[in-house]
Amino acid sequence: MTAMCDVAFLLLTFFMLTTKFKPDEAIKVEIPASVAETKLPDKDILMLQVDKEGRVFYGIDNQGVRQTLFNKIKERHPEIAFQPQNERAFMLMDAFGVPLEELPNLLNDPKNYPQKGLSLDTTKNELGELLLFGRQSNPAVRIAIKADGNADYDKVKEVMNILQKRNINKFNLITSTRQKPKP
Amino acid sequence: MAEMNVPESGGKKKHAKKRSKKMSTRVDLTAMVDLGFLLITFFMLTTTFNKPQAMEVNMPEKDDVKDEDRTKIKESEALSIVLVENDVVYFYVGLENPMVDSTNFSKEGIRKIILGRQQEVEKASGNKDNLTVLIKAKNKAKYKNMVDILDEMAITGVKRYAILDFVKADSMIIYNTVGKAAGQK
Repeated sequence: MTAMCDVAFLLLTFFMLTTKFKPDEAIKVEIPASVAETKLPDKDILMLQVDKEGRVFYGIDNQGVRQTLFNKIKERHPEIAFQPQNERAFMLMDAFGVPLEELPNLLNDPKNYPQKGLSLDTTKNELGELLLFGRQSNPAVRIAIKADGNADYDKVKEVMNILQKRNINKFNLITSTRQKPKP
Repeated sequence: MAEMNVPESGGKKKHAKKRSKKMSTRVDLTAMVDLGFLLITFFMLTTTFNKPQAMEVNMPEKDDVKDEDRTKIKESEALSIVLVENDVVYFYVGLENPMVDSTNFSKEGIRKIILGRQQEVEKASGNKDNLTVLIKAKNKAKYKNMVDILDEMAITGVKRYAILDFVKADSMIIYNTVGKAAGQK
C-alpha cells in the first residue's frame, strides 16, 4: 500500500509540474500537420494567426511587452481615444484582430466585440507598423504564422508579403506533428 | 477493521493489557490513494504533450533583384508544381510545350513525381540535389496545400525549391494543356 501510494504521488507531482493549462485562444485555428521537427520556443513569440475565414490576428506574448507595445501604439496614434483602463485590458489580451481605430471599442468589451481581423490595407499598413512596434518592444521576438489549414493561401501570402516588405525573411509556420514516412 | 479487543479472563490478564496498549502505526491509506489516482487521471487527461512544431521558412529578400542577378536554372533540372483549388496539384517540366499533368497530395501522388524527377536529374547530371522545384500557388489554393508541399520537400529531401507567385503565364500553360485534354475527351 505504501509503495503504491508513493508511486501515485510521484506521478501526481510529475503531472502537476509538467501541466501547463492551455490559454484561452481568441480564435479557433486548425493547424495543418507536417513532419517538421523544430519545436516552437515558449517565449518571445509574435504570432500572426489566420483563421478559416481569412481574418488576421496579431498576438505577442509576455504582458510587459504588451504594455510597451500599447504605449507605442498610443504614442504613435494620438488620434485614437484610448481610455485609461484600456492598458490593463490590452495587457491581458492574447491576440486581437481589429483595425487600430477600433481597438478602444474592443478593449472596452473584449468578450463581445466582434473582431473582423486586422486591416491588411496597404495604404495604412497597420500590420507592418504593428510588426515594427512588436520588434521594438521585444527585440528578441520571433515571428510565427499560425494559419488554419483551410484558409485560402491568398491571405497567408498577403501576410508573408507584408513580412517581407518589413525585411522579415525568416519566420516560422506553426504546424502539428505528423510521422515522417519511411523512404 | 472492526475488531474489538475482548479482554481474556484469568491469570493472563496482566499480559493482555500490555498487548492492547501496543498501538498500530498503520494508517488507512485507501482514501488518500484514491484521491491521488483521481488527480493523476485528471492531470493525465488534461496534459497536452505535443507542443506545436514550427516549420522554418526563409524567403529571399524582396528588394528589386536585377535580372542578371537572378539564379538561372536549367530546364532539365527544374520541376514546376502548381497548387490549385480542391487539393489538385499540376506539375510540368520546363516552359516550352510542357506536359502538364495533375495529381494529388497522397503518397502515390506528388511524392512519386518528385522522386521520379530526382532520379531523372540524377541520371542526367549525376546529382539529384541539382533538382530545383518551383512552387506556385494559385490564390484559391488552401494554406494546407502549401504546408503539404513544403512538407513533401522535406520528405523527399529536395534541397532547392522556391515559392513563386502564380502569374498569367502559368495559368496559360495549364489552360493550354488541360483545356486541350478536355477537348479531346
